[in-house]
Amino acid sequence: MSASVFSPLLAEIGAEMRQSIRAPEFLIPTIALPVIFYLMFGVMLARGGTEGSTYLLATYGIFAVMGPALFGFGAGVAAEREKGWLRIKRVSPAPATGYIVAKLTSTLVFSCLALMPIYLSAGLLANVALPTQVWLVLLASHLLAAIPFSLLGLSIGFSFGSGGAVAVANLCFLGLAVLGGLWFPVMLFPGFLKTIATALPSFHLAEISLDIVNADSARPVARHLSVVAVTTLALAALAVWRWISQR
Amino acid sequence: MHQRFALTVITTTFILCAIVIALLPKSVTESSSLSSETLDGNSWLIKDATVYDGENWLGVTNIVVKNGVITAIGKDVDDDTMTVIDASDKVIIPGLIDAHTHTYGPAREDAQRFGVTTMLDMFTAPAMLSQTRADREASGRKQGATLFSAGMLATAAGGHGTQYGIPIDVLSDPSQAEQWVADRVAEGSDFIKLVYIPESNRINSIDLETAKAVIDAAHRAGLLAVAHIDTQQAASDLLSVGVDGLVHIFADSEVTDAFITEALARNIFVIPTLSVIAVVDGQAPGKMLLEDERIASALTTAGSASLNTDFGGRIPGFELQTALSNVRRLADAGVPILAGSDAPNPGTAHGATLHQELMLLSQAGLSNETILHAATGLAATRFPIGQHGLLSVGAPADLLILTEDPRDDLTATRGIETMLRNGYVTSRAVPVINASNIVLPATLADFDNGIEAPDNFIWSETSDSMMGGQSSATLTSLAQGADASAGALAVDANVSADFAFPWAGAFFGMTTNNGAASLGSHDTIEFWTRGSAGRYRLMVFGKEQMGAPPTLEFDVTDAWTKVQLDLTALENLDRGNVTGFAFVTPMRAGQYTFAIDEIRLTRAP
Repeated sequence: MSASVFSPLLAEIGAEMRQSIRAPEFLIPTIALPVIFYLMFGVMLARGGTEGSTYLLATYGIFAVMGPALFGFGAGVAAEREKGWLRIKRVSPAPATGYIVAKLTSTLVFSCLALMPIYLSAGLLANVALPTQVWLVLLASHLLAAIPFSLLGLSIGFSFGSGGAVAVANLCFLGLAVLGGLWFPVMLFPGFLKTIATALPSFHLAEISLDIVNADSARPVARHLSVVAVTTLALAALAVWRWISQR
Repeated sequence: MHQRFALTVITTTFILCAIVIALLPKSVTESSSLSSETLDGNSWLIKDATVYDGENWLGVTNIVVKNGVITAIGKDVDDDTMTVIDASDKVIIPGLIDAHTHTYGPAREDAQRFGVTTMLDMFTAPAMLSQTRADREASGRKQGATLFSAGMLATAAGGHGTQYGIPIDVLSDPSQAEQWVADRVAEGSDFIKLVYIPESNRINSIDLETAKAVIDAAHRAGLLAVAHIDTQQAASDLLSVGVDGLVHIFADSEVTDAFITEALARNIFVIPTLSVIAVVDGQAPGKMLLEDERIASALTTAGSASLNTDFGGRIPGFELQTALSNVRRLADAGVPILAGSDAPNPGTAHGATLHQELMLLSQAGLSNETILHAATGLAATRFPIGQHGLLSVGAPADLLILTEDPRDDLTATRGIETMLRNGYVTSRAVPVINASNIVLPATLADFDNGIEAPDNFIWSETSDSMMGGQSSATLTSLAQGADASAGALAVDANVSADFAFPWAGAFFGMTTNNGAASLGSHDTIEFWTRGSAGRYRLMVFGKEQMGAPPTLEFDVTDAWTKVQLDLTALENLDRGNVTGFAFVTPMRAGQYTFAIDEIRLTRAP
């Protein structure tokens, strides 16, 4: 019954995570970097009130899920494609979705591992206090943010060789983080950078999380949600197109 | 082997997240975005609450709410298809009715945060009526209290009500009454309010003939006529000509037995507004209110500021003790007493002050049960407000879930755990306005390159024409500025006497509707000015500011002079939420030409 349906999927997820753990050169930076940054900017430099720490908790949470998504999918898929693993997968009877679901699960697990130290730093070191439901909704918003980034990573993985994919993933990683206002609040940006920020999914995802923690003024959440929805669909279309182009 | 590994990792991650969330510090206050989003929907089965329906205490009762309307109420009503709100050990009362308010700015939003879901407005700009009438019937989420209003008031030229800057259709003769009431009907007034204070030596009043004509015309139009009075004599006069209710208690003399007999015979009601009488009598009741965290936490900065103000001195003829004893004697005799705050007068704030009024009614000697009736169901028997204030089948589900029983402690009405408006769980959190992201720059304008303003700001003309006056202003750029600088701003203003508080000038304001800016560390504004001689005014505008803006005066002469004004002198200024500055003419009618230049914010040494 259900076990027989899920056991191949679980096996694939297990294999996927084992593989990631065996490649710590991706894992360690993606988990450690966000919390180190948050400790520097969100805890040490944001003393004197929890406002700054709360704000950056929302944005660094988005930053934290970008790493596993972009590198796990981007670099990972590219490498496996180069090794011919994807071609084997395509001729194997196991559905291709299993491969994606396994990667996504693994991404979410590592996202949690990247998020928790940030939450703990915010709560225990920077005294950020939120109602229980807000912590949970914030976590959900951060984890859901992994989906559009995973789709972007997937497109990168399908489009570039393993070396190129790492470079492009890095470019997206830093570009989306800095220009989307995840490292420094967008309100500190000069006018033209603000315009660039509004074109990036990272900005809109961060705004949704900021609304959840109720940072400063009211935000047009519906607009941010629709931008995110449209972007996610576009990235999904891009990923499907790149997947089909493999043949 | 992979399977077990996957399960272990996923489970461990899940548990890790749960432990971390459990370890994280929790804030006590509910997030505003959450309380309304997690409990979505407007259909519920509310179970096992102790219910007061606005008239009777029903004991432990269930309430079924479908699409925002109460469809069943009783001990045995049930519907297992509906989402349950468990209200055992809780007390449910109808949303409160404030029977005397004046509605400006965020009044309805402010009132709703304190559980006031219906407001009976006793005079506001008629434009407000059409805006709020549509909202009254709307079935969706409500941003503010439902409004029923008198609209324009009936008063004499130069009488009470004309001092607020709203153009008033004044009455001078009984023959105007019929048309006057017809105009109010056309504007959408729900009832008629008149001001009758013939004994006042400070302001004008309509005479009794005119008052009678207005009351008669209102009754012919099928409308209630209620009156503002200030003395027992004025109240007696109006009783004799058929007024339906008094919207203040008189506090100039002890109520006589004859008056009480007449009040009962005429079946009038009284909205005492003890809170505002307490302010006039110098009791500073608003300051006490601020000490209650349940009140303070729902107040805006402007609301707190308003509670801290007063009328600038005691006014004779308004003795709180007399007012309290008059209310007690009228209530004991059976004259219906309604709870009303008269917000936003000095020393009051929308919503908050109604809770104050309940306490003052208690101080007058009314029982807690009577007072709860006065603030809910009683109003529905007197005013044409449908089932507002009642929890009965067909009524909108406007109700308050309280943690304590207000029969034991009247202040329990402040401890609202959940508020339903039209069936929707409605947030009581103060809207977050955080202007710290925009700090006003030190140089507001130097006009060296024309009429320029920093990012997010713009210069515009301002005059009383926006309130229906006739004044006007034109802004132009001057080539020669003050202090040998390159340019300046010139204002040509034509101030007309048609308005109670005329103004015209230049406005420096934000480009966005909902933005605000902080003064940062600055406490002084300095600028150069010259022009038609006179005492000019600098008005500072703030977000959610109520009433007249804080104002500083400065003298202008024919020669360029540097003016420095201390902004800390403005008591009611919320320095974190400034939305603009207006440089305006003296209040006297006439033609003015003036220039301003080099406007800077500084910090006093």
